[in-house]
Amino acid sequence: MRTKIFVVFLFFIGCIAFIANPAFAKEEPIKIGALFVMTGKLGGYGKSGWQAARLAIDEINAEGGILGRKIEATIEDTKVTPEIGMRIAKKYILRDKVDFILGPTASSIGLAVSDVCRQYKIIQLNTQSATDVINGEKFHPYTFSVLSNTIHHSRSGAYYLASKPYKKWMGINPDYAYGHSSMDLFKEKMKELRPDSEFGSELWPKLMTADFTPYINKILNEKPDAVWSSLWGGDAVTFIKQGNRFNLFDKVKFAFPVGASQEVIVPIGKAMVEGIYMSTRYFFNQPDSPKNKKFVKDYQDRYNEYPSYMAEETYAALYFLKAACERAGTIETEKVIEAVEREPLAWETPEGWKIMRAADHLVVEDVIWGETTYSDKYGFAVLKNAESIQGEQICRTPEELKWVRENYEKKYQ
Amino acid sequence: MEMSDILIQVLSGLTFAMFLYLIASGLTLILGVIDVVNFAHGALYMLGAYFIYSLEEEFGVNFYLALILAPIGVGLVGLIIERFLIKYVYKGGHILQLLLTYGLILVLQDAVKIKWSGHGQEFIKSVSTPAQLNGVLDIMGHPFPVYYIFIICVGVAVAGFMWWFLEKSRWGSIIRAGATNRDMVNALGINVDRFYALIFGLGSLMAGLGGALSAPVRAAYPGMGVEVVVECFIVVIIGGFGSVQGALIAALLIGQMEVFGIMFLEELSMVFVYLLLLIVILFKPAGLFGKRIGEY
Repeated sequence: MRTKIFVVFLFFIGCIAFIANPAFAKEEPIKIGALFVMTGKLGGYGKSGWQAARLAIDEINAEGGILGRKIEATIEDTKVTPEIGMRIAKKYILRDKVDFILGPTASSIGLAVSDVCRQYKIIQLNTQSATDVINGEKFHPYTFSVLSNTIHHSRSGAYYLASKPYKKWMGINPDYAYGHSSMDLFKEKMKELRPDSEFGSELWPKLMTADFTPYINKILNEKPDAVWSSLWGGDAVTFIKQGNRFNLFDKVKFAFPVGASQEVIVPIGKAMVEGIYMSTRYFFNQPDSPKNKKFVKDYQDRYNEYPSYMAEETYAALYFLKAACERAGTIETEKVIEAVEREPLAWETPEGWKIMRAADHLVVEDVIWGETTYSDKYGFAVLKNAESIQGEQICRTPEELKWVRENYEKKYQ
Repeated sequence: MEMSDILIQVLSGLTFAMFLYLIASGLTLILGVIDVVNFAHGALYMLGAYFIYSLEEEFGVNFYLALILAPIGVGLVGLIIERFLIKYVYKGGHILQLLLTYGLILVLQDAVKIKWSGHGQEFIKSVSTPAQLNGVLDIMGHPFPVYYIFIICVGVAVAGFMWWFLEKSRWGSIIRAGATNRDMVNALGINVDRFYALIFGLGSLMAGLGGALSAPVRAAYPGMGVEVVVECFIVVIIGGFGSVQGALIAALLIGQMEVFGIMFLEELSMVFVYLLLLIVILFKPAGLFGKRIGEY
């Protein structure tokens, strides 16, 4: 009996979901399929991304949409698994017939989804996967990366830290595409700027490691001057919290290229040690422009929190889409790509004007580095002595781009 | 490599093992005695972390008191789940149980997301500990957190209590009998229905304690249980279904293997645990302390 009631209940839920399906809407909207991670330790990125996406979509729709068409978006959780990401992307493209793909979070899924988009010739707005491989070795025209990626972070980190008195380096980075790129690119640039720098052990905890204690012990045993750590989101939170219990950050200097995000600094709150080097793609209190102030206020009014860099980058992605489609005068894939590649596309975002490069479909934007300091006003750490490293300085030159692609082809053909 | 480095890693492994033991002991009881594959066990662990967060950070309850109240709360949630859902799938076979408990994970995870990780709330919650647990000890020149020692003490105390409860008390003998031969326990006139509810509640309480104790170190977030439950199933298989002592030994083994794996052969540290699992399945399929095999 109970099973029957349950089945009937499920049937009703199914009916409601069916009726509520966007396919029943009267006009033909522009459909976007979003993929983020919404659960687990790294789920904060997805939460921020989806919140910002909805804010941008509602704003654009209120002003008449893109080329007179409303935007409609759905979200699915990739659970940080490339197979699930690919499955969702294929479902979006083949069944839901989306026009654009937004996301996903994390580079391993980013590469997988990017491949699906290449295969089906659908434009992907890459907002949350930061490996340089998407724009370098595995570049194809269907992916546009609207976030600053590993190459920006690692190179800016090397520029920022080269003048500081650290010689003996170690690394602790997540064991997947992004973590390895981050470490390699930092090491390469640092050795170029500071030939006397030495690199010791490189530690590779897997994504979403629950317990970093054995790694912390290893760092304390090796006693380096400083550590490069691209741990992000919840991984950075638990690493810093666990490191605090060992007084790790008083003994060793740390540089977190993606540390100064709300997803990290807010949960850590007062427990953040002073003077950890962190960088960020965007910090909500900068720049002091009307556009940024409006964005922060609208975001705060709606979600009662400050926008993180993932929120800003995802918000910017929707406005990139608007600018690109309006330049092309259509949403047809090939024409949009052609329009963006014709000449670099600049569009205005809360953090300032961003430029989309034609050569690797990667955004040019500055990276902010600074040292953590607790702020009573906000209740979490902010950055002091902040420096902005210019976007042009840290992108790949045309020669470098040619080199990575040619060598990749040699390696794999 | 000095002796002190090794000692520190042994202690770290012990801390890790205590979490595994707390969570896996409940899982093994439920699996071994009631024969329910409870995939939602990890979700109960997650609830433990959120309950202690809520009690301490939202209601200002003292940490030690919260550490007692949170697991009791999770135990009660476990009882409710057992009475209203799990009870109906005892005879449904493992597939139905998996389906139901997997569904439960999604429901509990989303409930937690709505309550604690929604608009205006940070996604990850961290729980603070009182000042006397925040210190750092000096063990032969190496720092080691006081809280980790506290975790080890709680783990040892719980293991001692569980040993007494299972070996010396009347309920314990019924549980052990149930793990070996359920039908006989039933035939002897024990109220199996109420007895199963008790086991499920106790198992949930242990998961809740694991979650509450881990929250200050590992933080609380939706989905944290999914990551931990796989490791706990490995502990249960190695230790033997229904054997709490087996779970303890297996947890200790895995704890040390993970820590020393990372210390000496980081790239292969994941492999060792699965290798142990493989060896146990090949040569002692009932697990190190399991008594019963063939029914499945």
